[in-house]
Amino acid sequence: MNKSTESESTDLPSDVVEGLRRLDKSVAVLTPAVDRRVANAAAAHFEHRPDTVRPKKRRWAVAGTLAASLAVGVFLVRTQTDMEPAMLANDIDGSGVVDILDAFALARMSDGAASQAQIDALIGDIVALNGTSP
Amino acid sequence: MSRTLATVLLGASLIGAGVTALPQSVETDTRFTTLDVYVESTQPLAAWQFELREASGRMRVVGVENGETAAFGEAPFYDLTAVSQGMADRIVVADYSMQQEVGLPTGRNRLATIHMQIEGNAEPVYVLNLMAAGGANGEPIQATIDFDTP
Repeated sequence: MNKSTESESTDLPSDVVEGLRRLDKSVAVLTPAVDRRVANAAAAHFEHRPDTVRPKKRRWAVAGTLAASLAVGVFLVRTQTDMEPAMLANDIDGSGVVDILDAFALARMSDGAASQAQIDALIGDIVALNGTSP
Repeated sequence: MSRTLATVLLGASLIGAGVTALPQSVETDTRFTTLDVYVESTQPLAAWQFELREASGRMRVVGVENGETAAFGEAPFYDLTAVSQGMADRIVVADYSMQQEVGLPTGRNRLATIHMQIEGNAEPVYVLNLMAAGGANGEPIQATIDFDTP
């Protein structure tokens, strides 16, 4: 097989064969020594760059973001689950404010939705001076 | 004799000094007064709520009395506990009436009288706010609030 190839190549002009052989020869562009020198020069060039500062800042930023998110989450959970349902439950007329008109609406309900004691208790919350009133 | 006289004089001077050192009666700048609260509306008034306070916090409410209308003939709702404990430096008063519309008051009517204690000699500056006013159907109505003092 190789013989036949060689025999075919011998049919080419000698200068063409020689040119093809030069192209076919591998050329060492970077030797290991050159590679090390380039690596050392790069290390010397970048050795004063403060590459450890930004990661620290990022860590604090991430921690701060997480803490803020947690605080907002706790606030939302407390306000959404503890306060608003209680207030909304007494906002009978849907005005967004719990006042005497809600107690009046409760008293006017013909189906007796609430007892007089419950109505009085609601009014007690409305007029209370300890902050439960609107 | 002179020794006895000296002893008497010394005793008298000590008694005089003691009397002088006794605490004098403290003048209190506290007085009791009342404030009549009026609500005026062209529509029959079935429910109302107001808040009263004194601008500098020198007021202590000691009692709340109902007004002059038959529809609100009983004492209105307020924080009786805070008032009885002397902690009411403001007051929220409210009431409603289940009477028919014809029995509800219109115009300007005294709805409550506030009995209070005022500290200091300066004239109190009252802050009165009508928080809610409703008609017989439970809907809010237009109304104004004002007060009279003796």
